[in-house]
Amino acid sequence: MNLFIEYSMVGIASGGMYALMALGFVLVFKGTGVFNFAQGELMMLGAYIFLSVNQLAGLHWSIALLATVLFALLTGVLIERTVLRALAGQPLLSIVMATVGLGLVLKGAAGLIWGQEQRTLPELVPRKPIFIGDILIPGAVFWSFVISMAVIAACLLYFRFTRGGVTMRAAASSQVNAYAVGINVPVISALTWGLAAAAGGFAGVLLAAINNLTPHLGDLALSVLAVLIVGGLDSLAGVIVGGLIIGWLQSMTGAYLGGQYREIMPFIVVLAVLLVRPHGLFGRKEIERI
Amino acid sequence: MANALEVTALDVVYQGTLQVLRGLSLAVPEGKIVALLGSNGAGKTTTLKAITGLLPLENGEISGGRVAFDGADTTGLAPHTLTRRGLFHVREGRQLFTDMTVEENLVAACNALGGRHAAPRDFDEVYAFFPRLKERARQICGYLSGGEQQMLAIGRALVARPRVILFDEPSLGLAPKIVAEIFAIIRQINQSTGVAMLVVEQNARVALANADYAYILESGSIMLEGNAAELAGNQDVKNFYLGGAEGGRKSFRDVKHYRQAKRWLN
Repeated sequence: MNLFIEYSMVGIASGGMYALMALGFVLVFKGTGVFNFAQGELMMLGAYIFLSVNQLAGLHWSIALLATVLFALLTGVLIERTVLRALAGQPLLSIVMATVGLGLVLKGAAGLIWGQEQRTLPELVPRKPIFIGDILIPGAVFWSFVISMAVIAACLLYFRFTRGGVTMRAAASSQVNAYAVGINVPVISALTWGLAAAAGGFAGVLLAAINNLTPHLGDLALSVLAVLIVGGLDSLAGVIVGGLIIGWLQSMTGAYLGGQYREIMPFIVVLAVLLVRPHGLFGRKEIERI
Repeated sequence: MANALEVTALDVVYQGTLQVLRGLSLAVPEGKIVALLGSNGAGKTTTLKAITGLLPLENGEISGGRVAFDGADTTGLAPHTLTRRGLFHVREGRQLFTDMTVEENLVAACNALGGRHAAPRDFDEVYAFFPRLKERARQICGYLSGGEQQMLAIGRALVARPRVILFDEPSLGLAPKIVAEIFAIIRQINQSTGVAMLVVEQNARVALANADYAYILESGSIMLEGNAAELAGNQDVKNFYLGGAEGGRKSFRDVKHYRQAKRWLN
């Protein structure tokens, strides 16, 4: 029983990281209706920027983190201005394919600039294990959980209680109606991309600090697909719940069925969820008045 | 009296080929309610979209003529710019942010203030007109009744403190009793705030009863205009838009007559 609780705790805690990784996808999808396949590469890029500022320029990690988030924000805005704006009005498939291409370009560029070899980021999160009662949770897992939850909670509060957040949701709800109430839709959608990229950059640094950094770090992001589908592509609350469920399941599967099933289990759950709730546990069904 | 809004010889084309408005001209004087009437497909909604800059979002464009708001040429400005200058469009079918609460819809409308006024700390002004919205402030507005949704749509316009409000079919899908209520409030808002209004309606009876002046639109051009009371008394208008003349139903033979007379109107 104790083992069960321990695996549960570790699983749920590692789900926090999944939730943070999924956050950027949700922000862009909710805001602009586009699934951004380059989100993982934005995470990778963020991690490399952090590495460059921190190690090559030799600045303190807090400054490097701030620089990373700002750089990612600008990158997001830039992508929206150049790639997305140019494709405005085109079929959704073209836009999504453009994000796939963008991801490949970023991955290749990172390889050219920083090389293919593995890099190690400084330890941002304490590795010292945390004891809750007599249950042991690895420090990196615990702290990344706490940080992830804090970031997502901040986003939730922003969207619910600030005018900027409500404005972003309004623009996401309907562009024409947003225009009609005086919202500068192009600026808002650029900001949405910026925010998603910033969340991605931050997640990338955290992820690279726990794992290692190569230009292929972004591939990990697609593994949160399960989280997105379980939680609902357009729900911040769904991201948390989906992340925790998937994290817990993977831990349980690894413990009781063996490591080889870890990667399969989430997708079995995805199938089950899709059968019952095609829009995810928290995804929005259109409200239609009849 | 000066015109708050002036449309001169407006031509509108959709997708580069489909002409919808032909040389349409109308004016909305300061503080007045002007009705724009017409049947389905006459171009009423297109007129409003042309005025508030929403046409490019639907592949339409103004190919001739000009729109002047507050004396300045505003043809072709971006829609949010126009809204921020004080031209508020209450779109057809309410068009709320249905997944957000009543209050969040009002908060979103604060964007329309665009620095002209400070954003209100509460929405008491709106709630004074629509007490029912206050009770439902925290509810998701997609679940409100049709009448309440229309109230919220008008409430958003109030938050924006516009100089001109454009209403697109405020009566759409509402019970006659609610329609009367909504129009009473529209009048009340006009009288208490002095905001000018252009009301597009299919319900000619209620629109003429509440407006000061009216235009009748057919196939993209103004066919008839005049004081609302005068138009309501006009025999042709009665025939075509107010559901027949005095003397009850007409016989089938008179339908022909109707067609002839309509040609005359043209």
